[in-house]
Amino acid sequence: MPKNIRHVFADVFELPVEAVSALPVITLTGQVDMIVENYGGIIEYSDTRIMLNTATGIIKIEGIELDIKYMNSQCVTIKGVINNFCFEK
Amino acid sequence: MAIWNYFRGYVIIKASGLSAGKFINMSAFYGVNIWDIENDGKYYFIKADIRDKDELKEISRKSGCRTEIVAYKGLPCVLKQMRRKSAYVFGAFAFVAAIYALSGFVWTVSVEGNYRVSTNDIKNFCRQKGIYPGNLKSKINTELISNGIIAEFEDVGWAAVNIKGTKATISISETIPKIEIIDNSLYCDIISETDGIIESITVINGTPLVRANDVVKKGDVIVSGVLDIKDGEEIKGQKYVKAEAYIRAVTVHNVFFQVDMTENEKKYTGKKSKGIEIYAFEKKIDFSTPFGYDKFDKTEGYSFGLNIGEYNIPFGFKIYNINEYTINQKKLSQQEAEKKAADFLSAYKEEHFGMEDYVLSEDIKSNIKDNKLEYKVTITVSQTIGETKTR
Repeated sequence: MPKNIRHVFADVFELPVEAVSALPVITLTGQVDMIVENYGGIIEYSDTRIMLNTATGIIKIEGIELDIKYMNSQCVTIKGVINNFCFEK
Repeated sequence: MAIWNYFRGYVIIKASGLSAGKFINMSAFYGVNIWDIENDGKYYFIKADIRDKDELKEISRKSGCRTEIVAYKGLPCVLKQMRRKSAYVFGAFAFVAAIYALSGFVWTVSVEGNYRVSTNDIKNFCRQKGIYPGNLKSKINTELISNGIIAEFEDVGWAAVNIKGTKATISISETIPKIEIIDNSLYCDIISETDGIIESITVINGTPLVRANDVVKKGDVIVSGVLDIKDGEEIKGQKYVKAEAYIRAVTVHNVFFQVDMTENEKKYTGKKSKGIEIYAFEKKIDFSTPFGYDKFDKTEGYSFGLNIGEYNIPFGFKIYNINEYTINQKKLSQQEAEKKAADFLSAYKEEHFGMEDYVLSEDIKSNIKDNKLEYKVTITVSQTIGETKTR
């Protein structure tokens, strides 16, 4: 897989990849709380499914009673029972 | 975060239409903090900072989304509403002020650590010195009162007055009980307190002047406090002591009393009513005296009064139950009169005879005269006699 120039830069200077590129950072606390940083907007939002646009593609989160607890330009916090999430191109 | 949002104030926005998602994304993109985004299938409900309200309107216009502010929430909104309802604000301040003012008083007084000294005695003393429900805490000098308690009560060795909140606690520690010291240097005789025949006499100290079966009159010396010091038959000197003895004698008591054969009997007519009495401080307004009742009984049925701790607020009212009655004269039968007489006799015996005394015989003569039952009773009793008399 050819490396992006930003990844090379991060490797050379030993910097966190997400700091130099727009890659999403996903923090999952158990099954109940997910924080997605570096996202590019909400594509779909319902009780059972949330789709977020990111630099690496769409993140599809599925679960029960999903709720966007907080959002700003940098991150979005999702609460509820998260059953699964995946990247879609 | 939630509590901070509450203090800063926030709005709930209802977003609808196809571009509602665009509105949310644009809000985030423009740096507007939004939270608790809910989707009920038809509308999106979004919470946002109250200060971003205008910016959200602009975003709404740009995104083409229909938005509506459905609620203003948080402390600034509550305060704004309060400004319109000045009575509430005044009430809240008055409540706080009342609580503050009332906390400056003592409302309950308790005493702990006392066994021999009565709680009421201590409370009464403290009341005189200023510790009582309803008095200002600032007026109470706890050190002075603690020292006062120690000085006033002999049995108290240590005392402390603590005021915590509105409660004054008087803690005391009692001294070891004093042993009663009998002064044997005071010499005295034992004299008879009644007429009788000596049954037995046991002398612990002193010179007996009577023997068993001797007749004694009231005031006669039974045991003398003078001891003769003898050398054979010759009296060499005298020693004065405190006479002590256990003496039993047979005594006779004549009792005469009359029982009236007619008795006043209370009979309720069945006429009832209720009355109220209102009181404020020392004043009483009595509405409980009924009209048209000749004789009546007044019993307290319900009373209402408020108190703070042990302090009774001097306002309230009492409701009385009033029952009318008439007095009927009832003639007692001989049996009923004799029963009353027997009750009177047993009350007499309880009053005059002790636990160690027992009745030897009882001679009762009764007759009815002038509608009265006359009782003449002669009671023969074996009882302890003798009282000390100092010389």
